[in-house]
Amino acid sequence: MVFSSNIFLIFFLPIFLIFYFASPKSWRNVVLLLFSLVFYAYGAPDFIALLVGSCVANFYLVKLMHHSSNQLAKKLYCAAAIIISLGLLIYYKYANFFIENINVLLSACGAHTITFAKVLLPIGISFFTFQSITYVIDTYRGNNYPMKRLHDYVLYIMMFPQLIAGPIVRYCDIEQEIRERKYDISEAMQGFYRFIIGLSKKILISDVIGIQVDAVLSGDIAMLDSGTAWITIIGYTMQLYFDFSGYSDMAIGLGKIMGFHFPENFDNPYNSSSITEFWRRWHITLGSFMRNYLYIPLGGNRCSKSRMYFNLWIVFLLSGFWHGANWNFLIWGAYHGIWLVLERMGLKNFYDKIGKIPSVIITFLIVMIGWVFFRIENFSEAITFISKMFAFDFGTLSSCYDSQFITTLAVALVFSFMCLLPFGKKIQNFVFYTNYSKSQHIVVWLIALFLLFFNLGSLNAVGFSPFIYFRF
Amino acid sequence: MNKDRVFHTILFILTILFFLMILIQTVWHPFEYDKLRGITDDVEFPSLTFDSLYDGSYQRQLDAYLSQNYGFREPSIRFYNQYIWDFYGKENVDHIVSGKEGWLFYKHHVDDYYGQEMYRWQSDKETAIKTYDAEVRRMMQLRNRLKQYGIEFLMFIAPDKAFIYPEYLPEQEYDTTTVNARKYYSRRFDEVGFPYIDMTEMFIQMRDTVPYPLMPIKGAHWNNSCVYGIDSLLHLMGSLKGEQLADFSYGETIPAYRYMDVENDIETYINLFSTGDIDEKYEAKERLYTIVSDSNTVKPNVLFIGNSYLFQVYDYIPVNELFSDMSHWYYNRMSYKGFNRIHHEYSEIDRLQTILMADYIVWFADGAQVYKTSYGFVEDALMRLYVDEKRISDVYAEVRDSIADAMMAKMPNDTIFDTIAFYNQMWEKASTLILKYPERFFEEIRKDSIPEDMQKKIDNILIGKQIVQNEKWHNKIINYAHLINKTIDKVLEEEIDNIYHNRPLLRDKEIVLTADERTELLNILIEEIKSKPDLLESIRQKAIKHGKTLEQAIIDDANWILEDKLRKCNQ
Repeated sequence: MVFSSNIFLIFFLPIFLIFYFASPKSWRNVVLLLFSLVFYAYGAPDFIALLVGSCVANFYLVKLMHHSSNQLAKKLYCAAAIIISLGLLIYYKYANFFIENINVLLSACGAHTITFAKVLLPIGISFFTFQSITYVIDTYRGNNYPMKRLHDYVLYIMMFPQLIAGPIVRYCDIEQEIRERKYDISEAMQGFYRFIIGLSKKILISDVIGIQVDAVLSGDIAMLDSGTAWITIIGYTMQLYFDFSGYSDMAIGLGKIMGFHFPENFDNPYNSSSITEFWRRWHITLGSFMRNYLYIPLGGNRCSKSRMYFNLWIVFLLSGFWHGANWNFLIWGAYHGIWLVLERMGLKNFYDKIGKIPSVIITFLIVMIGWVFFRIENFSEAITFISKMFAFDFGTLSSCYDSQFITTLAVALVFSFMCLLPFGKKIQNFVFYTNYSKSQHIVVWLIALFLLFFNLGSLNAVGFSPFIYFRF
Repeated sequence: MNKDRVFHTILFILTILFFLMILIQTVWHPFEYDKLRGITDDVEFPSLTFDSLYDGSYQRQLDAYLSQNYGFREPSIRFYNQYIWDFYGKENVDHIVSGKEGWLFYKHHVDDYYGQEMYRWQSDKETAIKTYDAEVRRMMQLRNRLKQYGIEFLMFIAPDKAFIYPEYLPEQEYDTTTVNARKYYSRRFDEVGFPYIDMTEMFIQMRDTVPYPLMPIKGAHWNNSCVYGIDSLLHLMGSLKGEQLADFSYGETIPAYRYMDVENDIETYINLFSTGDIDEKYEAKERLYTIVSDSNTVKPNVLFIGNSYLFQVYDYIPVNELFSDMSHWYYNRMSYKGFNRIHHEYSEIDRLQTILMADYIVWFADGAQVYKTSYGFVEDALMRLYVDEKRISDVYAEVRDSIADAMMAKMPNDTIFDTIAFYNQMWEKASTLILKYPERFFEEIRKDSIPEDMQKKIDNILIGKQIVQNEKWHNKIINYAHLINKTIDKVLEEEIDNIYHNRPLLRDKEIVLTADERTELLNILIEEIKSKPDLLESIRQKAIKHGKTLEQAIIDDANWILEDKLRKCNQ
């Protein structure tokens, strides 16, 4: 099920909220879990057993690990739990990729290729795998105690607001709230507003931009002029951000309605003045996971410079691969890794010298070029696209896009960059973090209801599109 | 609980109620809204089964159902459409084009103007010209054949707004590699002498002579300006047969007091609350008129093969004052009969008879529809004139089956499909193929003369037509059929038989019943009376009033009815 779908907005959400708030507090986790199972089963009924099964296995392995006094046994249980989680991820997400590439090599050598039935990808597997790993490792490290009740653990993994596309919530960040959380009705209202902001980002901005971007990219890239190429990639840059951050807003908002505080996933990423900063602002929970569970265990900064550069690059290569089993994601990850290494090698000093705004522009350009590899699967087409961007042939620009696209793109750019100015930051803080007065509440509430109604109209007048990050 | 908490709680409850209201409206629809116009999928609420959930069909159907039926769908979609219309001048409908100064156009008309419509129907210019030439040849063949039977076949091209008011079209590139069907047909008609009227050209001439738009600015079809079209059509029809048909006499122009739906039929498809006010200079006006006729005026029976432009003619003009009868074969697929547009199943009507019973047959279409080559009417009419109906059905079935076999051969063995729907689809394919190349399937059509058996059938219908056109004779047939409890068609058939065999005609006979016939008809009438409780009750009352037995009163009534029918027969 998808947040921006009729079934979720019309049936699932209101029915869930009624059941949830009508239940005694001690039952709310069970209600949330049951609805989360329905949420997942509606979209992927054939994988629900797999997901629950892996949760059960992890839960008991971690329990055994925690109660074991033998260090070797602890390590073995920990390894077993991680292998199960990663094994499922590797099988379901990467088996097709590996076999296809092996077959390419085999056929190049004239050998028989491997015949195999394509493996279907369980939705959200990349996210729930990482969450289960944080639970296993944090418990192993002694950062927290294991869950006492199985259904609480399953709830941690399967809680519907963040099940499918994050944020990746570390177990230690949410443990307390799963056990016992405070209900603040004013926070619930803030959560509702946040949900509507996310929904609007998705439907009114991302989807509108996406129609034109998809239309251009489904055509012949070799025929593009530079203007169209630039507008298209700026469009995609905005589409992706508003799609994913919109989803995160909805997840965080839903969490708040139920009394959870999920970590923020975005912090004006396009205002970054370096790629290093970009990764502190973009998909923050993934960056945090990679740092804590991959970069630091590899040695982090406490090793030789060359080793550190290698660690950094490999982390980003894998981070790219996490996004999808395809060469374009590997290239995208490697591309970002290279820029991070370059920044550590001295590029950062250059940014510091030229000042904030020029370095934001340069970073934005680097990020946009990165999105070309992210969006266009075929490498040679991606290169063609980039060459079109820099061919500086601005022939037929005016006839390419309609006024709704251009206006929406302009609005998206304003929202993306307004926090570079103090006034913009003020507006953002007001919208997201202010405790409204009663009159402000009423105004914001009316706007939120209007936006909900308006989004429904847009969703059904234009047509449904799923979230981009669902396939990762 | 502090005041803030109470406030937030109320707000939160109201929020949930808002969601619930949408849910309730989705399920029970307590509030009624005007339906949105356009194509909607009639999806039923799916029933949940394990299999349907597992294979995803339940989810797909539920999504489709909700998309068509969610609560407050109509106002929310109108609201969104209004937003994109007001802010971006965009519409969410692919067959509508927004022009300048608030003018709206049907996309086919715009494409036709810019030379792109041809590609919707033909692969290239050469094929298009071949198709149109073949069509003109068949039209002339049909026209010549029908003319022998006293029937005029002609064409009326309804006005195409885009050509009449091109200055309001959005700027677009012209495609010069195509051929415009309307212009091509007109040229060919002039060459071969096929009678036609092109109202687009007439309206282009007229547009600057009238102080109002001849076509509605937010509608696709014509409005009251259809009067000019029908006036011209009647003049052409009359000139073809040398008949005096009804005439129009025009008066002053007034603001349209009969504001027709067509004024904004395009606008309604955009599903907005409003497209805004119309500039005064574009407001609908109408020209008052009276229909002029006298005792010499002929009211013909006309068969129109046409599209929706004819609906405004029905709505705006008292067609019963112009014609004795009219039929409208809508896109040659649906049949409307008479002045009240009674719908008849097209497949069930006797097409040959309807064609031959008409005095005039008019292919009636706007320029963008001319590409559709008479909707297959000309080809079908030729087949029905030259070929026996049974053979036509047999050939259709044969072609359908061979297409079906070929299709099934390509399907995997375990393919499950709806047999009826599949064969209906194959029938459509067969029909398209046969109508495209009728001469390949029915050699008879190529010949000059009509086969003997068909000629006899045609003659019978034409004699029937003569009878029907003679009021006295026709009434005698009807009354006699009523008297002896036979169908009118059966009596007509017998009368035609009388003509062929030189027997005395019913027309000239005085009907006298023998004693046996009288007894038999009386018995039938008595049974009929007894089967009607209301009639029986009124006879019972009469019987009581006149002191008769019920049985006697029934016999008396039956006798009276029989005598009355007999009297009418011999009038």
